[in-house]
Amino acid sequence: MRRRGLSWRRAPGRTGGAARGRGAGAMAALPARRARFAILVAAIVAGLLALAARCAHLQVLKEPELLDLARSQQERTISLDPRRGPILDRNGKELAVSLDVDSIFADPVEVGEPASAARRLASLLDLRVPELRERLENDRHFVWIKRKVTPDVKRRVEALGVPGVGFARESRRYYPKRSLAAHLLGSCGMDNQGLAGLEYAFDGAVRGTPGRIFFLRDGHGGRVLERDRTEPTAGSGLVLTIDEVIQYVVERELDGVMAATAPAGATVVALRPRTGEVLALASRPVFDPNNYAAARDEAQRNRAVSDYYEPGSTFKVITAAAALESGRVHPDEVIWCENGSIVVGRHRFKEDRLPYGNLTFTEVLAKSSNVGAIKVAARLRPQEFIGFIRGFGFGRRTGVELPGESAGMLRDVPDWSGLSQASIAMGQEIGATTLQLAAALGAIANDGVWMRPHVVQAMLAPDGTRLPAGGATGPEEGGRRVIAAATARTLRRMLQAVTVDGTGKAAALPGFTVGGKTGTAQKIDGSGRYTPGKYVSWFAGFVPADHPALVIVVMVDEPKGPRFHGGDVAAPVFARVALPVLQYLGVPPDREGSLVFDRSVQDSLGTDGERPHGAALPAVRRGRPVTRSGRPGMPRSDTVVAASLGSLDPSSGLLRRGPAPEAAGAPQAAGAGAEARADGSLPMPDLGGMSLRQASETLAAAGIVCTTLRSGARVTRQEPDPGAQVRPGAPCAVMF
Amino acid sequence: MARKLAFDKTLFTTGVGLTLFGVVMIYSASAVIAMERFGSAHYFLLRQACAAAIGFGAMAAAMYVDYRRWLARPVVYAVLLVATLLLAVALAADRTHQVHRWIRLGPIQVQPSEIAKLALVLFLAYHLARKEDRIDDATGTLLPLAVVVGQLTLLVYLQPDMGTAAIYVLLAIVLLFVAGLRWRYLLAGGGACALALGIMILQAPYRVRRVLAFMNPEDDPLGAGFQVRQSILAVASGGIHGTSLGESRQKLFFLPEPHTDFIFSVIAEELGLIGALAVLLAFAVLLWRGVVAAAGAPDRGGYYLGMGITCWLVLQAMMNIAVTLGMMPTKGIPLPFLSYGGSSLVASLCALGVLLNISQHSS
Repeated sequence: MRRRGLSWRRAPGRTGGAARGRGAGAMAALPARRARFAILVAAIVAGLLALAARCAHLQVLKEPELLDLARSQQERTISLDPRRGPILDRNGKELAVSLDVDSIFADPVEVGEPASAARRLASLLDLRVPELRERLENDRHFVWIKRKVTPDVKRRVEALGVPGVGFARESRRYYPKRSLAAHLLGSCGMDNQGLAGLEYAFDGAVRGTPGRIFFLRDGHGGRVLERDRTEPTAGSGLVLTIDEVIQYVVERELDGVMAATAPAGATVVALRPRTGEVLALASRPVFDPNNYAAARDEAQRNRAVSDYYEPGSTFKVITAAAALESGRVHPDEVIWCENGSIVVGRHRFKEDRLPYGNLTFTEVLAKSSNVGAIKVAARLRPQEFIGFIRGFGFGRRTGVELPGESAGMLRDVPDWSGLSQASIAMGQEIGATTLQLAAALGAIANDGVWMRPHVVQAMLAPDGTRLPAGGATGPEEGGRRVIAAATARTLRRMLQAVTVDGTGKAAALPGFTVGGKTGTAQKIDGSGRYTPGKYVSWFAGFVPADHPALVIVVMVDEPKGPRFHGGDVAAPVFARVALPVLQYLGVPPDREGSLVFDRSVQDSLGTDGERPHGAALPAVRRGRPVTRSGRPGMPRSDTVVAASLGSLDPSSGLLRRGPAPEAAGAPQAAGAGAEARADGSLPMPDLGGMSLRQASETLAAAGIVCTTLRSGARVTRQEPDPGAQVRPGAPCAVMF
Repeated sequence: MARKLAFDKTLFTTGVGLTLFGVVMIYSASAVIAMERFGSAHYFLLRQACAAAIGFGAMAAAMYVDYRRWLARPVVYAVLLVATLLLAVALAADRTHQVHRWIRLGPIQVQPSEIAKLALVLFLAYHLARKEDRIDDATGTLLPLAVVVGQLTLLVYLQPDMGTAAIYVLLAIVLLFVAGLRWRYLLAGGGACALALGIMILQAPYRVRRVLAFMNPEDDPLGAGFQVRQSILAVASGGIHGTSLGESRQKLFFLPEPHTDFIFSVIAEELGLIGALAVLLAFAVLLWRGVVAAAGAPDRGGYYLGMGITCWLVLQAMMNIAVTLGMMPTKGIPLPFLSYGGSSLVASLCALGVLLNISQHSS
C-alpha cells in the first residue's frame, strides 16, 4: 500500500473519507486528476514568475524614471537667497546695496477664516480681496502674501495678529542714490536677478550662490526632517571706476540741459584718458532703479553706449588726426575754403554757417569748416583714412562691461559711394556712441594711445578682498597707439583754439586750458534724408589741454528752441561739468583765470537758490581722501576743493531721502571744525601773506571752498575779509 | 502503517523564517506610524512578536496532532460551526463601526475571517475526499459544498471584506478543480462567480473607484489611484539593491498601510529586487514543499488538506503582491507570515503546522 508514488495510485487510506470506487470511471479520472494537479502547480509557478518579472521590470527598467518621481514627492528643497554683492564707486561709496526686508507669508491650513483674514490683510497691503482669499483657501502649507514690504507695513500686519501669518527675511536690492548712475547700475527683479546694466552684466558674480535646505517630506505634506543645509554664499561686490561725486555733477548738469532745451535725450561720458577709467556716464531720460518696472522703455535705454548718432563736426578731430599723422597737412597750412561750397561728384557740400576763403588748418578746425575738412580728407587714401577711424575705435564695440553696447555704424571702403569720404570727413555717414567718441578723444588726450574704456575697477569678494575685474578690460592693459605722441600734442594745441576763438567758446573755463570740438549733426529720418530742424548737438573736449586729466563728451539729442548748435547747447554743459570736477579732482589750474566765479559752481555749492533734487545741503565736511592729488610741487588744493564738494557727496545725505537704508555705509566723515555755527556758517580765516600752499591748507581746514587761485608768491588780497562769516560752500577769492 | 517521524525541515524553516523576517520588516515599516498613533515606535513590533509567539505555539501543537483527527466528521463540523458563529458575532457585535471585521476581547482583537479560512480548508478537504468519486453530482456533492462555502463567504462579504470573500471562493474553485470537477461545471461556476463579483463591485462606489483607479492610475494620482501609485513608486525606488533596511521613504505616510497590506512594497523598497525575489522564492519553496507533502499524503483527505493549505498561503501571497505591484485592484488582503495582523499570522502558522504534520506522514 505504501509504495513510493503519488497517493492517487494507491487505494484510499483508512481514514479520511469514503472508500473510493474502483470502477472504470474512477480509473479514468485518475490521469485527469493528475493533469489537474500539474496544471494548478504550473499555473501558480507561472503566476510567481509573472510577479518576479514585474518586480524586475519596475525595479530595474523603470527604476530611473520612477525613482525621480518618488524623489520629487519625498524631497523638498527650500532655496535660500544669497545676498547680492554691493556696487561701490571708486571711493567705496555704496551705489547699490542689499537690505534685509520682511516678506509676509501664510500657512493657509492655520489661517482659520480665510474670508475675514483676506479682508483684513488686503486693505493693509493694497491687495485684492478675492485673489488673496483664494490663496488663503489653498490646502498647501505655504503661500506668499506679499513680498518685500516696508518695516512699517510689517509692524501693522503683525499688529493684526491674523493666525497662520508669518514673516520671512529676504534680501532686497536698494539703490540709496535713487536715479544716480541708474543706467550704469541697472536694476534687479523680485528674485534678486540682475535685469539691466552692471547688475545684469555681472549677475553671475554679484548674485552669489543660493543656499538650500534639503528636506525629507512625508505623505502628510507638512512634517519634514531636515537632512542637509547649505548656507548661501554672498555675491561679489563691484568697485567701479565711477566717482559718485563726478557722476552727481554730470547728472545735475544733464538735468539742467534737459530742463533748458527739452531734448529727446542727452548723455555725458567723462573719463580719465590715461587709463580709460570712466568717471561718470549718464543718460537722460533716466529711471529709478528702485522701481525699474515703472520705468518707460525710453528711460531704460542707456543711450551713451547703446545708441549711436552721427558725430557731425566732432569727427573732424579724427579727420585732422589722420591727415596730420600721415603728414598730409600742417597746422599752419593755408587751405582755400572755396568761399563756402565744394562739389564732390554731383553733390555740393556747403558750410553750415559762414562761407570762408583762406583758413589755416588750425582755423579750419576752430571754425569747423566743412570745405576745409573735405579737402584735407581727400588727401588721404580711403583705406588709410578708415584705418585711422578704426584705430580710434569706431565701428566696433569698445568692450566696456556694460550690456547692450552698440558698435556704431561704419561702412567698409568697398561699400563707400563717391561721397562717402567727404561725408565721413565731416562726421556724416558714420554713427558713433558717446562712449566711442569719448574713447577716441581720450586717445588724443593720452598722447595717441587708445585706452579701452571701462567702468569696473575690481571685484570685491564677500570677505572684502579685492579681485581683478577679470577680462581684458583692466586698467593695466597697455592700450593701442593710434597716432604719434607729437601728432596728438599738435592736435591738442589746435583744438585749444576751438574754445579760445572758435565754435566752442562756451566750453572755455576760468583757470584751465580746454581743447575740444563742437558738432551739430542733422538727424536722418526714416527714409535716410536729413531732417531740417532736428539736430544732435555735441561737444567733445579735454582739460587741461596740455596734460588732459579729463575727457568729457556731451551729446544732446534734438534740443528744442532757437539754439541747437553744439557750441551753444553742449559746450556749456561741458564747462559746467568740467570746472567743479577739476576742482574736486584737485587738478591745478594751468592758466591765469579771472576772479569771476563760475555760476555753476556757485549754484552747486551755495546754500541759497535752487538745488538739484531739492535736498538740503548738510554742513560742510572736512575733506575726504581724494584719489589723486596734483603734480609734485603743487599745492594740495584737492583738499580745499574736496571740502566744498563734500556737500555734493550723495551719501552724506543729499540724495538720501525716503526710507533710509540701515546699511547706508561707513560712518560719515566727522563734522567740520568746532567753529562752525548753528546755521553752518564759518569765520573766514586771515590768509594775508600766506603762500599758496598755506592758504589752501588753511581754507581746507576751515572747510571753505576757494574756486580760483591766481599764481603768485603770497596772498595779497582776499575776499571776504578775515573774520567775516562765510556760509559753507560760498565762494571766496584769494589773490596773490 | 508506518509513520515518518521527521517533518519537512525546509518547509518548517521557510515558514518560521518568513515569520521572523516579517517581524523585522513590520518594525521597520511601522515605527514612524506607531510613534504617531500610539506614541511608541515598538507598538506594532511588540504585538506582532506576541502573535508570532502564540502562532509558533499553535504551529508546534498542530505539528504533533495527527492531521487525520481534524478530518473526523464531528471535528470538521464543530470547527465550521465555531467559525460561522464567530463571523456572525463579529457582524452582530460592534455596531458602532462601519466595518465588522474584528471581535474585541480586551486588548486583543480577533479577526474571525482568518480562523474561518482554516475551517473552510478543513471542510473542503473532508468533503472532497468523501465525494471525490461523485464529484460531478450536483445535489450530493456540489450543493452542500456551495451552501457551506456560500454561507462563510456571505458572512465575510457582509463585513465587508471582498478580498477574503474572494479568497474563500477561489480556494473552493481551486480544490474542485484539483478534485477533477468537469470543465463545464468549473466554467459555469467561474462565470457565476464573476457575475456575482461584478454586481458586488457595482454596489459599492468605493469598489468602482478602486477598479477604475487600477485601470487608469494616472487619472487620479492623489485619490483612489494613490495607494497603488505610491506602492509602485516604493517598489521601483528600491532598485536592485534597495535603500537598505529601515531606509524606506515611502513608508513615511505615502504608503497607506506600510505594515499590513503594503509590507511587500516596503520590503521591495528597502531590500530591492533581491529582497523581493527572495520573498517570492520563499513562497515558491512553500508551494514546492507543500504540494510534495500533499501528494505524498497517505490518504485523499491529507492530499486535499495539504493542497488546500498550500494553495491558501501561496495564492493569498500572490494576490497581495500582485496588488502592491499594480497588477490587481486594491483588495486589502494580508501577505501571509509577513503582514502585520495577529489572527492572520496565528491562522497561517496553525495551517503550516497541519501541513508539517502531513509532511511527517508523507512517503
